[in-house]
Amino acid sequence: MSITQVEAPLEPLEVASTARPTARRWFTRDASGPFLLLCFFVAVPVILILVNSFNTARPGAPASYGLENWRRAGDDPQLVHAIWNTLTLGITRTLIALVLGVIIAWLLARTDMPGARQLEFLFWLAFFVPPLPRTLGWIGLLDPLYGVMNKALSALPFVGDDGSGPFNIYSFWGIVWVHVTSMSLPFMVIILTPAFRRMSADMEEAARMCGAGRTLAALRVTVPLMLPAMLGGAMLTFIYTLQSFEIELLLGSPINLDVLSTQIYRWIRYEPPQFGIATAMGVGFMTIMILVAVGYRRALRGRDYTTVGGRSYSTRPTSLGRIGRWVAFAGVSSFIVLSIVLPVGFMAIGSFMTRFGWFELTDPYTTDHWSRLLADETFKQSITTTCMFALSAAVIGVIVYWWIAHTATRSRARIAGSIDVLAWLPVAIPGMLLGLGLLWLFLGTPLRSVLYGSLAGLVIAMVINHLPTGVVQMRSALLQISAQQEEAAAMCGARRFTRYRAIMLPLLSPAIVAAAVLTITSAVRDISTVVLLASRGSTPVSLLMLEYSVSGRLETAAALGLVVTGALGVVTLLGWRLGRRAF
Amino acid sequence: MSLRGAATTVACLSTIAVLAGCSSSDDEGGTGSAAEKPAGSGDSCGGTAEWDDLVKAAQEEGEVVISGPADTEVSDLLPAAFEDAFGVEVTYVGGSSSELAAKLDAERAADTYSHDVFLGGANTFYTVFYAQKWLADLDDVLIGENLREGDNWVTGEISFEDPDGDKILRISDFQATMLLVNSDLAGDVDEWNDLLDPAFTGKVASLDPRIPGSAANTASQIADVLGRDFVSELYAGQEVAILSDSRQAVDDLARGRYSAVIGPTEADGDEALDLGLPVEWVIPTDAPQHRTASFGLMAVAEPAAHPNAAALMANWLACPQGNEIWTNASGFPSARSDVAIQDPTPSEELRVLDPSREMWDAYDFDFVTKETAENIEYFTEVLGGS
Repeated sequence: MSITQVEAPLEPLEVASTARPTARRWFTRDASGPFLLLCFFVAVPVILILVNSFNTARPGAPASYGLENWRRAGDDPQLVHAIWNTLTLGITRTLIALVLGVIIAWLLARTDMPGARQLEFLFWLAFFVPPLPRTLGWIGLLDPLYGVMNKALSALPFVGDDGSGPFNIYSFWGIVWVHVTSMSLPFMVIILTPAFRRMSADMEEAARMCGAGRTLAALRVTVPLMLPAMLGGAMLTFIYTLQSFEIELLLGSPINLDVLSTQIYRWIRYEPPQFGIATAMGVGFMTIMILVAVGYRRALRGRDYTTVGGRSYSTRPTSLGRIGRWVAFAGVSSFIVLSIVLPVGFMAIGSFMTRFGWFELTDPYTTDHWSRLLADETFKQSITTTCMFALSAAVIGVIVYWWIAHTATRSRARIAGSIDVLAWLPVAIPGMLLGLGLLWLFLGTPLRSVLYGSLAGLVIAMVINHLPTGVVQMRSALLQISAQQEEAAAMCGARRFTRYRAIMLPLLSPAIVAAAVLTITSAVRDISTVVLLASRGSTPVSLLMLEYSVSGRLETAAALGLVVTGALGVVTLLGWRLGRRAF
Repeated sequence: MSLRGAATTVACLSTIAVLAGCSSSDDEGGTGSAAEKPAGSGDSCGGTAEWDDLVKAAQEEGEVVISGPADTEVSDLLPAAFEDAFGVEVTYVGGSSSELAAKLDAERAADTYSHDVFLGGANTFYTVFYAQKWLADLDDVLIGENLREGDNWVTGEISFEDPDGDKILRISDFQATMLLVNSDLAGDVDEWNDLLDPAFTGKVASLDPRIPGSAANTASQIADVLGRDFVSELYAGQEVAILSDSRQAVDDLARGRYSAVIGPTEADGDEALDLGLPVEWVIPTDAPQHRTASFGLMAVAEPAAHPNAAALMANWLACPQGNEIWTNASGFPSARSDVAIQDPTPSEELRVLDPSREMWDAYDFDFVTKETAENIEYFTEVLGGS
């Protein structure tokens, strides 16, 4: 593996290289701010959740502490099955997404495959489609009894029609398929493509000049250098897919396939709510995730992944050959058709259907759902709320993620490791529990009038919720950029702000844009984190979609889902323009 | 069209939709200001000086916060009608009772009180709201004329569901329809017993009875009336599929995946019927009427954020005019004898309670607070899982 030794940092400067001296102080001035911020907004809610996992009293009753919640969580006869299902599903879909994601991201970023930018945009679009209508779309396509695609396939002579189609969406592999196409793979491509773009082609070219073939160069140079982004992306994909529950709830329940998130969801929705048991399960979950975070840090420690140094930066694409580039295009396009066009198309048609998926009705199409949506006062209010909420979260989020990632990667303070782990923590907490922890925090401080029930509170919740992804994105980018760049600027007299604006901002623009767009996406889609914090009368779009869904108005929810997807598409296009250098 | 072109088209359409959403709604009617509304406007229990004083005091507070089901029909119609009647702004908070309980718990621990009136189901109301003394005494609140006269109520008396008899008022009262069958496949199903026929093995689905709610109440009624062994025989013996989504259950039923579904929501079943899908409600004859209120229990917060507006809202919901708005928006038949659903469908007529027949009350305080947890433990044992 090609690992370069980074030069020692220039002492008078505050920027440090990735190689740290052995004797380090616990705290430094640059590390204190992010550490305190994370302690207040992450550690305190987590501690509140931990403490309340021992609170056995019902809501409203005086607290009484004991091990009852933990005992009941542990006694759950389905727990072992749920843990097994959670791990097998999570590992399977992460591995599939990782392998396909690396290949697709490499094709998009490092080769001369035609239409790469348009295809990349479609992967972003794939990630934006809300999971509920998308899953219903897949049920409409692949239900073994009445799925449109299954019916079409059954009509083929070599498939045969025995009353059930060749595919069953209600199965382990059905769940894996919906996850991989809707979340895991698009997410992996979104995370990895900018990282591949930041990689200078010099190293691959050097390997080729030394006689390595295209595959060997990719395996021995590209993949090792992409390790931080790949590991980060794989772990985030793994953990996010563990957290999601809509897909498992719809596809797993009929076949009695429970996962941890659906178990936790049941306890939270229980009447009266059993937050103690849910938090006990959540805390167990959190412990595993902290170990994963520590492992991630250890895996990357002591190595240098710099691909953008102070001297040269080549982004020349690898040639796939005249036929090869079109074969690659056909392969990626086929996946796009399968993962986006079919379910989104079905969702679009569904929004104009009298009843989602019922083509056999006498009058199957209507525009009523769209009329109802556009006339709904709550829709208008929720769009305004969401616009403000999501944009504020993106701007504040990007600044916070960069600050934390920069400290975690460049600070010499020993506390930098803790900053990394603290920034990772929110990913391990189911959204509703995180919302609950923040609710307790907001109401328990003198800032309650500012934070509780206000846009500020929602923005903070969303920034915290998206913190792990944002920090990993920034961290992966920072690890690829040598500290020499900042050091050289500092030697020339550039102040800190100038160094960030003139050097880091342009180099990090793809990661910044990606983090901003993903934060907006989270803000628009997230339900569980904000449900307890949403201000009175200020319903974000995500909660409105939930309201439509639970009211049985799936068609209106599908229409809203399309509006959301389209709006996020606009945001991405704007983001691409802003980060044009990289894209 | 190129990908870029397609993307641009999608983007433009979305932008138009978003801009439509962002545009001002000032020109669309809206509610009148408090000053424009006469004191007695819109009341059907009013006419007394006390009522007029209450309306004026509520208008001075200017706002009322009510929580209820996450139903867009209710969240649109109820606030609009109240605002139109009294010129008091309504903030409607839709969501589950468990979410609301968590929120109120945290608020009250911090001496913050943001809610006024609650509409909800029995479990969290009884075991949390009432048990923790979060509810006001409605004796002091309900001032509407003739409100307590027995003739005005379906069962012959106003129904307070809490043991004190003055905190939780039932404003909806009806017979639950808990069994939906596929009319092409199910044959003649009249009783729960019919579902034990081997032809139904693997062909029955149920919403999750391990979570408190209508499906759990139904399983409890079956256990109560036909015995726990029957529950085991039905749910485990007939390999009942447990589903989490009511709409999905109804779709699967209509498509023929199942022949019968236990516990889908009234709205989902009715919508399928309205569209002519092959489904029908069955009221099993081997059990008494399953009396329920769904989200139709009403209580006032103690302390309330806007006490006068809260009292006005509570009176309005208990009186004919407000109750009629709630009844038609929610689709739950009223507890009032003088309020009915306009142009009821056959399903809605089926739900009208017949007080002369034997009833099994799923909202009975003792049943909910003492037996539900025990029953759910048993269902969990039968089905496995949490």
